[in-house]
Amino acid sequence: MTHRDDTTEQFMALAERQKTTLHKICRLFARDNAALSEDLYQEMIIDLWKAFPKIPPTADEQRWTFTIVYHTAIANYRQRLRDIKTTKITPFTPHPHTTQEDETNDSLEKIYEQLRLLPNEQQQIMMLHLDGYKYEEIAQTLGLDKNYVGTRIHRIKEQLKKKLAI
Amino acid sequence: MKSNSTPNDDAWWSSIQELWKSQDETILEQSQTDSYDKVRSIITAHEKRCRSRIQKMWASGIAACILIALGISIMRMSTIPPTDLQQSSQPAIAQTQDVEPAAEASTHANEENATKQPVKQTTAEKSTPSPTASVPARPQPATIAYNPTQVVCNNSCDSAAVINQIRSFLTDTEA
Repeated sequence: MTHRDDTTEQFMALAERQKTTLHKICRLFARDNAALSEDLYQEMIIDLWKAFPKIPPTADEQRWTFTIVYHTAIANYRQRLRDIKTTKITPFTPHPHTTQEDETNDSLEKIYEQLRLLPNEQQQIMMLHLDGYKYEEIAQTLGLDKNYVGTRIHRIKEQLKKKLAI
Repeated sequence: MKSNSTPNDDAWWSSIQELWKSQDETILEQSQTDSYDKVRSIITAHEKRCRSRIQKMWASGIAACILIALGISIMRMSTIPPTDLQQSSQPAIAQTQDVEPAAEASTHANEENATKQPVKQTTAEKSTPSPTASVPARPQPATIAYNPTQVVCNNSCDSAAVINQIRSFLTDTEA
């Protein structure tokens, strides 16, 4: 097995381990648009593949993946915004399988809706916090101050509690 | 911050977190079968695209080099060597000098042709030893007549007039 094959195998294992992170971000940005979600997933994989040789050995795999794919999603979102501005706005046609089948999915969609309303930085903070990361880890990942992260989380939680009646 | 949160808040938040984590299982279940192949196919397609882009870049680079080389060679071929330039420059200058005043002086020259001819003839005849001179003396007036600088200095800039002068001079000398 060559070095290249080795790298490919390692990367595929990483993509397999981190696919939940990828799918969550896809859902956050692409909503229920399956085609868009598919495109975004491909872009994320490509960006991860490009960045894979540069991964620091000491880095937290999940946080590293999250940072890269989140930025890919933002870039994709901005590109879409530009395309909408330059071309005719086509009315959004929901995917045929958008109906929420169970209560859990409904509740989850409500969380996603609230997350979509947040600015990018706060979205990242909350997604990492929802994944169980501590303030310090979140601050380290996003290059922010620990106290700032704590304050933000506290405020967002209050907002969410008011809006979500789960 | 966290210290301000009540146990009720904590319970609410942990329920949200549980809900959030519950989707992981769903995602893993849904994408269990095809995800490995999917990632592989995405990488392969990306690598192919990269390779073809590199090939295109190389091809366009080589094409550009060939075009530049062709351009340079054409430029070199089209430029006249310096030796040719030296040879061709004198008549060209004389021609241009002839043409510009010719427009003004063409009527003048035609009118004054008859009056000028004798003047020229006399100067030419002065340079020759005698009208009854031997044959080797002939080339001397001929070279004087063809000299373009002399033509310019005499203000007879019309080439037709000059040719007429030369013809008449030659016929005179032969006579």
